[in-house]
Amino acid sequence: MIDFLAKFFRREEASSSRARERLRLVLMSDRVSLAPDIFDAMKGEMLDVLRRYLEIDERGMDVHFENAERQFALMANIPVREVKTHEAIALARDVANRLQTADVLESQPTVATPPRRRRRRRARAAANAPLAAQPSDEAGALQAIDDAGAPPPSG
Amino acid sequence: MPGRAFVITSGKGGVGKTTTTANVGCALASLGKQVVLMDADIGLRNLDLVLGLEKRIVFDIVDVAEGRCQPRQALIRDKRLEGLYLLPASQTKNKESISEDQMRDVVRLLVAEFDVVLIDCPAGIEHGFRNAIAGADEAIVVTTPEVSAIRDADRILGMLGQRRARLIINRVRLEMVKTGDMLAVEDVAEILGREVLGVVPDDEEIIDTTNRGEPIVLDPSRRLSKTYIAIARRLTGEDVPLPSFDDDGFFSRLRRLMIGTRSHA
Amino acid sequence: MPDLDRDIQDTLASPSGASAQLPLDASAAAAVKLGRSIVVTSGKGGVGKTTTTANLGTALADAGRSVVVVDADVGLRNLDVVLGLENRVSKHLLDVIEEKCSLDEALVRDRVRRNLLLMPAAQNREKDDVPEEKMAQLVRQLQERFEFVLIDCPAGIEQGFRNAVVGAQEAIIVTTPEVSAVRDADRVIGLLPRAIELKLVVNRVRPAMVKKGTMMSVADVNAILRLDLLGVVPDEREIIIATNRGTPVIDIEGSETGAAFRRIARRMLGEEVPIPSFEDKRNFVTRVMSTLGLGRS
Repeated sequence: MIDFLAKFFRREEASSSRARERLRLVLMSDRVSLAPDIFDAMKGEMLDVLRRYLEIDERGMDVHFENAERQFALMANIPVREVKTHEAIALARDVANRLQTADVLESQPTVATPPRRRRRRRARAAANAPLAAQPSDEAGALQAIDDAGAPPPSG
Repeated sequence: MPGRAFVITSGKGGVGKTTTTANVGCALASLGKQVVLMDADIGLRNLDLVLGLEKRIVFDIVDVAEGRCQPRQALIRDKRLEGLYLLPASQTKNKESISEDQMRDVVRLLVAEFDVVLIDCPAGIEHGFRNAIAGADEAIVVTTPEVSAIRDADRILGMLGQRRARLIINRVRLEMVKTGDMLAVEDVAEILGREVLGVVPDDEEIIDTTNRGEPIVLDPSRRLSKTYIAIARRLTGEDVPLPSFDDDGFFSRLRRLMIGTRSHA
Repeated sequence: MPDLDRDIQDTLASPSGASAQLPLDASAAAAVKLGRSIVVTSGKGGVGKTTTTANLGTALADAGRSVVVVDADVGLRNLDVVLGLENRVSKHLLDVIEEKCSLDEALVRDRVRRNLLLMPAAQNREKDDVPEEKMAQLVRQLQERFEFVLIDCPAGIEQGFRNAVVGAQEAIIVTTPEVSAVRDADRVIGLLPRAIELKLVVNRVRPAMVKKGTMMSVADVNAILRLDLLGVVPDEREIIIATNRGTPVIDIEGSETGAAFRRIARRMLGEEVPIPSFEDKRNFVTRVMSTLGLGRS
C-alpha cells in the first residue's frame, strides 16, 4: 500500500525536482570516480584514525562508495581483530595530540629553531609522557610511539 | 596591458557555445573593444558560418601554427562591426594538427594586440578540448537547464584547473520553469557551484539568425541582443544585475541577493 | 529467442567490410546468426544522438527484439542518465575490454523492458584508452547475443567517433534542420567507411518555423545530404521532461516525438511506414474555421 502511494506521489512530483535529485546523486558518483587519488587519500586518513582505537584486518576490509536508488553512501566493512586496551588508546591519542602541538609550534614563523633541535624536543616530550606500560629509556619511549602510530606490518 | 583570453566550453555539444562566442564577441566589439574570435573546432568548424564569414576564409589557425602565414593574414575583419575579427579553424585537418603549445603561442600573440580573445571550444574532452583551453586564462562554461548538459558541465569544471570559470545558462524557458518542468537558474548555479555570468532565454529567433549568418546582437531591437550586451558588460568588469524572471518583486530581489552572494568558487 | 527477421538474414548473406576484418573463422561466422550493429552519429553535438539511441532501442525492445545500447562516449556518458539507469551502473565497457569483468557483469538491464540492456561507458577514462580492434571485437560479441546493437556515438570526429564507428555495419546519421548540423553531418558522411549502410534521421523539426520559412525543411536538408530518409522527429517540450525523469519520451502519453521514434523502429524492422508531413495542427484548425466562416482565413 505504502509502495503504491509512494509511486503515485512520485509520479505527481514535478519533473524538475526529479531532475534535481537525480543530478545530485549522479554528480556525487561522477566526482568520486573522477578523483580516485583524492578519495584514496581520504580512505588512508580514515584508516589512520581507526588504527588509533582498533586493530583492523586490512586485507579483509572493503571501503567503497555505493550508488543506490535514492542514496549515495560510503560503505565500510572493516573486520576488527582487536579493540586496543584503554592504555594503548590513551597513548595513541596522547601521541597524536603532541605531534599536532609540535607541528603547530614548528609552523610558527617566529620561532626559528634548527631542525635537529626540534626533533630532539619532540622525542623528549614523548618520553616524558605518562605512559602505562612505560619503558624507562628514551629509545623505548620512541618505540612505544612507533608501535601505537605505525600501520601494522604487512604480511 | 595585454588582453584577456577566455575559452567558451561546455562538454555537452549543442548547448550554444558557438552562438555564444559569436554574440558575446559582437557585443564586446559594439562596446568598443578589439576582439578576436578563435574557432578551435578543427575539422568541424562552424564559427565562420554563424558569423556569416565562411566565404572569406583564406588562411586558418593551422596555417598560423605551422608558420605558413602571419596571424594578421589569417584574421578576417568583420565589415559590420568595428574591432571584430575571426581566426577560423581548418576544415580539412584534424585536431591533432595543432599542439597545445602552438595554441598557447597563437593566443599569446593575439592578446598582445587585442583586448579580448574568445576561444570557441569543440564539444567533448579530447584533443580539441585540451587545445582550446591551453591558451585561456579564464573559462565561460555554457550549459542548458537539462540533466545531461549539467552533468557534462560539471565534468568540464573539474578539468579547468585553477582557471576562473563562470556559467552562462542558455535556452531557459521561463514557462517551463514555472510549471516545474525545467530546472531554475538558481538550481543550476547551486548544483554546479559557480557564479552566473548570464542567463539567455530560449528564443527561436536564434535559429534563424544562425542560418543567415547574422548574429542577433547586430540587431539592437531584438531582446536577446540586450542579454548578450549585459554579458559583455559583466565580462569587462561592470556590475550588471542578472534579470529577474519573476513578476513578484520580492522573489526577484531575493534571487538577485542569492546569486550575488554566491561568489565564484 | 524470437526469429531473426529478413533484414538480419540479408546482412548475414552479404557480410560487410567491417565484419570481414574481425578474427573469426569463416565457417564459424556462417554458423553464428549475428544481430545488426548500428552506430548513431552526427558530427555536431546536441542534435539528439543519445535520445535517438535510447528511444529506438526501447521501441525495438517493445517490438520484441533483444537490444543492447552501447554508450561509446567515454568520459561524458549520458545514455545511462537518459534511460534513468545511472544508479545501476557499476562496471563499464572499458572494464570488459581490459578483462576486469565479464560482459554480463557490465550490462545493465532496463527497469521496464527485460530485453533491453545497456553497456555503459567509463566516466573516468579517456577515449584514447580504447583500442579500436578491441572495440570491434566487443561489438561483435554483442552481435552474437543481441538482435540489435545500437552504438551511441560521441560528438566530433576524433578517436571517440572512430571507436564508435569501427564495429558498425550500419549508421544512422542524425541531424537537425540547422546549417551547422547539416554541415557537420555532411563531413561525417565523408569520413565513414564506404561499406557502411547509411540512413538519415532529421530531428528537432519545428513545423511552424518551416512554414514561416525560418527553418529549413526536411527536403532542403536531404537535398544537401542525399541519404535514405529513415525518419523525421518533431521538437517538443516533452523531451526535456522525459530526460528530467529519466524515462524515454516514447513512454509519454500523446508525445508526437515518441510516436515518430516508434515509426522509425517499425521501419528498421522492415515495415513500410509513410513519413507524415507534419502539418502544423493550428493550420488544420484555421482551415476548418475558415470553411465555417470563422476567424482569419
